[in-house]
Amino acid sequence: MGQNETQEGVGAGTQEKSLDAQFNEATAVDKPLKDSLTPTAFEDLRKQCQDPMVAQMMMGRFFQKADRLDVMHKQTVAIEWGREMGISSETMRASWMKQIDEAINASEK
Amino acid sequence: MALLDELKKGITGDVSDASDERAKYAHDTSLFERTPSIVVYPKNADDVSTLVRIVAKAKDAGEDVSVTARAAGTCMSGGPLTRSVVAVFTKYLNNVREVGADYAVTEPGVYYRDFEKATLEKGLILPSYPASRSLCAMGGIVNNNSGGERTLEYGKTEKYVQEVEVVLSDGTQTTFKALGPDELVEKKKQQDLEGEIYRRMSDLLISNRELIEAHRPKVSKNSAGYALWNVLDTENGTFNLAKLICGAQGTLALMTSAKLGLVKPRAHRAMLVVFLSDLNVLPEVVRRVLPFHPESFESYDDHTLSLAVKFLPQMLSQMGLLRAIRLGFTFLPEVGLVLKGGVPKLVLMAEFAEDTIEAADKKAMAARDALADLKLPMQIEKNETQAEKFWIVRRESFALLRKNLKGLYAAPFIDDFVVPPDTYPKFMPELNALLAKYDLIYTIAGHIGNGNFHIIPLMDLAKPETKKVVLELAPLVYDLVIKYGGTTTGEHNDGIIRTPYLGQLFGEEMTRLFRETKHIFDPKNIFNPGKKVGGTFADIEDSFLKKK
Repeated sequence: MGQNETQEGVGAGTQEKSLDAQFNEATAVDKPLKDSLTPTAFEDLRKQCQDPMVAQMMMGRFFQKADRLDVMHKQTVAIEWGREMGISSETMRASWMKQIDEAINASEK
Repeated sequence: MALLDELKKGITGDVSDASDERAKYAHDTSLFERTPSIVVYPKNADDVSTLVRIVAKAKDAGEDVSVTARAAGTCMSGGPLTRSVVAVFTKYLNNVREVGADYAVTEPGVYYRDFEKATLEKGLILPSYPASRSLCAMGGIVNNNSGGERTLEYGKTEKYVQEVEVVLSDGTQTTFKALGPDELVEKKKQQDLEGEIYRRMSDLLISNRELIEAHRPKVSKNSAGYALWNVLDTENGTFNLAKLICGAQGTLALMTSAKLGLVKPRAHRAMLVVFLSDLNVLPEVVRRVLPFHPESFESYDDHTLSLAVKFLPQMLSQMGLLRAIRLGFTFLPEVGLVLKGGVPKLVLMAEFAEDTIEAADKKAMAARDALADLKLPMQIEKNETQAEKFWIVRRESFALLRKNLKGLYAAPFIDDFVVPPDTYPKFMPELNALLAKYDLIYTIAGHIGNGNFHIIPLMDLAKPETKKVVLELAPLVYDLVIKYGGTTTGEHNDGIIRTPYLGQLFGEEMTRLFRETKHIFDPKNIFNPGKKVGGTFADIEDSFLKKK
């Protein structure tokens, strides 16, 4: 095994958590994603969410994660995460989740 | 090199164009016949890839050639029938690869009865098995999105399909499974057919989400069209093309294995049997029984029961001597009813499943009490042995019809529609009035709790007017079904018999999406053409069984 390969392996395993792991940790608390994710992870996720299908899938995940939080306004938390990711209200509203539509209406009142 | 020679050279399984071999696969259980030109028995997924590549190359060279997958051939819609190449999976691709803690991985050629033996070793079942459970195979179950007697409680096959290994139309092999957002991003980057499929299907679903959502079936069972509404799981944030392959009748890709979720069935059952002499009371009975959550709620009619009694010795002869003797005695009351002419118009079977026999009995009795004021003949079968004879009649009814009617043929063409059960009071009289205009003998069986009716007319195929009745009556029945928010097929799928009616059911915009979907997956139209997309009324006429 060469030196570079070893360094990459160590870096991936101990110094930087995977995007997925960071996402799971970040959405386990009621905090802005910017405060929980590394700047690189935050930008990577924002970039992914430019794809409308990914944005809708991500909203589904935000709702699922927010649902596990011990907070009053779970849907608002999911929508705030979505907004941090640059997901427009229009995209959120166009989602097939009725609850997103209802929550956006509530948040924009 | 001729197609046959290329296939013989490239395929490690078997290839044949012998007339007796081709004749074996000219029929399913539909109204149709099409004799394939070549039969291929692929030995493994690599063979399927080779087959697809050779067929695609021949198509490029201008040959009118395609490949249609076939498992047990119990389809009632003509799904596995072709005049080109048929790929038969039951000979080699017939292994249950794995049974896990709550899933199984199976090849398409495994018969359900063998699959169930394997899963029951771990106390698990696939609860969406169809009534043809003793004859059908897993390829058909997945590709028709089958349902059956337990679908009322457990849902259809689409709910249990987790992953499928497939061969795409360029011959590449891949696995469709639930992808998270980052996995979808990676798939869409691929510069191959699979990447193209992910990119274009993602665009299609996003661009047409309102249209698709508006056409999501409103009934609890549907096998019509492509299940575009199932691909994106917004609750879990996943994108799964396996959900689209389920029910696509092998028109988008050829499945070489499937990972299916399994459930642990409840241990005890009790059945409430209700005998109806007046069909007008049916809607009220269903309305009152459903709140008790029967695991299954099935029915069969007087014609079916009379046939069962008439052919009782033949039916019992397949069951072993001791079981036949025991069951034979249990049928004595029914034999008496037939002899006296007192057969009920409809027998309803509501089966309640619980972890203890006491709990199951309690539910059956509560349902019976809820019907008490209707003053209907009812009985409770307190265990599965007592209920067995009712299940035998229900499950064997179509096979009995197919085997035993001389001069008449069990003709499935309005055999599988679904309407919401709460529409029965208005729907049933209109349906009866419509059917009364035609001089038909027909049997009715089905999943009354789901609103899924199996109406099987018995017809003389030698008469020229039979074809006319099929083509005239089906759209009238479907108009009625659509008017009440139903679908043309709950579990038997579109095939030759119903593909031409997809426009009537879904409208032009939605069928355009089906055509686009087909083109994205199979731009050369080599997978089972004329099913789901491109099927015509001329196909129905041209493929009609000559005579029985």
